[in-house]
Amino acid sequence: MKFVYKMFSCGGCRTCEMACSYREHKTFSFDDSCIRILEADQGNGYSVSFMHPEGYEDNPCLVCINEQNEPLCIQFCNEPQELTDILHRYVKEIEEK
Amino acid sequence: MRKQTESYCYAGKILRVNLSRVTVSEEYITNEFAKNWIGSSGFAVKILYDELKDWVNPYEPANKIVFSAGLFLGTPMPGACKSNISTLAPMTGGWGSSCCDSYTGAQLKYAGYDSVIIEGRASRPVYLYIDNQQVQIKDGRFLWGNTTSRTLELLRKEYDNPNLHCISIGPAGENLVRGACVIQDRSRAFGRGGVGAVLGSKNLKAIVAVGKGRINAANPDRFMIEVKKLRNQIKASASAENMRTYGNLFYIEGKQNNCGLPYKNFQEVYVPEETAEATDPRKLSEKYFEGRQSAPGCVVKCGVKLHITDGPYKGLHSDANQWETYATLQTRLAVDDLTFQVKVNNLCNDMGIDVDAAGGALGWAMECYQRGILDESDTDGLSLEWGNAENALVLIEKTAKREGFGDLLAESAAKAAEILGRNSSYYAVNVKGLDLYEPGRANLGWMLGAATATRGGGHTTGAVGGYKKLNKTAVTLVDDDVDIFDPSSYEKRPEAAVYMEALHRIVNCFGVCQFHTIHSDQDHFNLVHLIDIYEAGTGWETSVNELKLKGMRQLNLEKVFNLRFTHFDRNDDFPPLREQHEAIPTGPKAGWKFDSVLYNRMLDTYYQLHGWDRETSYPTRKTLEELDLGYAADDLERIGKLGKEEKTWKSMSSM
Repeated sequence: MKFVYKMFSCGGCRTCEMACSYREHKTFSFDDSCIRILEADQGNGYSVSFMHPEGYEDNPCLVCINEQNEPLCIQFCNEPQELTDILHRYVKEIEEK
Repeated sequence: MRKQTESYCYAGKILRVNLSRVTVSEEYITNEFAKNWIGSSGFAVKILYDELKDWVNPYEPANKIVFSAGLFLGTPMPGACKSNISTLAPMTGGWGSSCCDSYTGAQLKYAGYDSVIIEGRASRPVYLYIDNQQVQIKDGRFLWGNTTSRTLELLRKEYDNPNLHCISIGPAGENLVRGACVIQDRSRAFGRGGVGAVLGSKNLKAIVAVGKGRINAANPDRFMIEVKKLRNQIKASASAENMRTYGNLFYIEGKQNNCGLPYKNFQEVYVPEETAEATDPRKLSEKYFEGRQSAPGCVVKCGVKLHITDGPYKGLHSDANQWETYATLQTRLAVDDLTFQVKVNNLCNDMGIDVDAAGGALGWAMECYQRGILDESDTDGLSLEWGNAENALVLIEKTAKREGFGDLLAESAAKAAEILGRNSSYYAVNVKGLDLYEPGRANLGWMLGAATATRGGGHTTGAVGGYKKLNKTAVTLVDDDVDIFDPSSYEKRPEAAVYMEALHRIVNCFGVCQFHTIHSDQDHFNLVHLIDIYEAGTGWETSVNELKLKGMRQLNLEKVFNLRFTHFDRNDDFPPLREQHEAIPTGPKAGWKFDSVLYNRMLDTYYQLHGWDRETSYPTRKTLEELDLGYAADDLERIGKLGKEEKTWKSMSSM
């Protein structure tokens, strides 16, 4: 199960993906990341998707937002404020399900 | 096959594709090779120097292309998005190497390869598909004839993958337009040298890479600490806010104030105030901002997506407009409509033609028309008065398709002028055959770098910007007390150019975008900032001096490469004739004139610093041997181009 959010300020640099894969595996990869940036052909921003921990076996997002340190995807994002808001929405949605 | 040894940050393998034989093979990268040549354009110069036969010309199957991803691609190193295509180039007949922000490069690393060597010529149009399991030479006939944006669309459809990335050529590359480029997706370009025409000559339409592997750092925790430190350095710089708002379009003001913008093909180098006001590219971001577009690892965020909502090009969407299109097409052709720069940028990208090659050829043609050298009987009936945007667009399309008068323009300004004759060469503004896109007659360090560049006219392999003061610990070549901010001074420019030659090459090898370096902002990276991350990433120790030495090694091999394939000598290290002979007519530096005596003196110093023969510009045996390039000295001796030693020659190690 995938949760997808529009992130208007995102430029698609995918540094969040590489930071997330480092957190998980101490290596860099787009494919090991729990957060994924999806292409947008036109218009403002990109889409951010998270792999749901219970519905998706590969690279579930462990919601490290609840941990003491700020999640690495946010630490390495050029637009951390909007990504933080999105992560909060994601947390709320998975808690509701 | 070379033996594999463990190395970090590298994928570890080079892929070799022979399109004639339809074969694919792999070679492991040794640590020795990786340490000596670092990556990307560094790998390419060594491979091409060793493998190309002296009799090869750019369009022959025996020419080769090396497509590489920089050392740090696939890691979050700030700005690590640059890939490189190098080859024997159609524009100059010599060394051709062009970098581009590239998603495909990062995917190539994750697919397990640092570089791809492409040999031979396919018997019909093909594209290359690379993933971790396989490398396929696929039938590309359904792509042939299409624009680059349509090619991306077709490939995404073919693989049912909206996130797929590719590099491709447009009609210009297919038709061997000398200035054809290779486009990443829709908007970023391996622009210079005519690398797209070489892909075209091999019937290679596109390269797709889909990587699912990993890249490891030697010390990942330390690496991430360094990444964060470097990100913060960029974010705290003086240009950060302007870059974020306008992209690099904000440079225009500085260039205008330094008389660094071409108007009517460099007849003026200060854009008349009315035109400058009407076409100020910063208005594009203010009026038509749609979103951002950043390549992997980008921190400066110069990519701005635009949506044009009014005027003749209403409805147009554009990715990543750069200042260069403004200079090389908008003001060079004296077009007053603000949105022309967006339209023409899109058209060039779609056709797969370098904006500078298009601007150079059109600027030359319009000036010839102004002077009566060309008239409607030459131009398929098209009138070419300054500012005629419509006919400029028509001619770019005709150039890409080699139709009518476009067939002549497709040879690029320098060669078109040779073919046409009529004393028109003076109006082809180029260095070594490669179009120059900005005037430098009052920007001497910039000009020295652009004029001596091994690949021809351009500011990305040695040009010196207007730095207030270079940090002495970083730049040992420049004294602390020399203020080199005044661009129209000749002082210390050779020393600074030699430093920039090394820096530009090292960051190209690292795959780091030059906007993240002092090339764009003196608060950004210079070599000293790159040491710790190199060590954390690769696990190998290095120093500023070692990186400089490696940069010089590459430069010298490029130089010798040129000497093998061209007739370049000291005479080819000068600015275009117009820059040398005409005083600045208007603007803040009106009356300023290039000083031939001072430039020659500057060039002497530059050659001395390099250990090159001042008379010919040829490297000496001693210089080459100090850089472990004894074989290159042997080659020069064989063709009678070894530089003479001088008593006053300054040893490389004392630099």
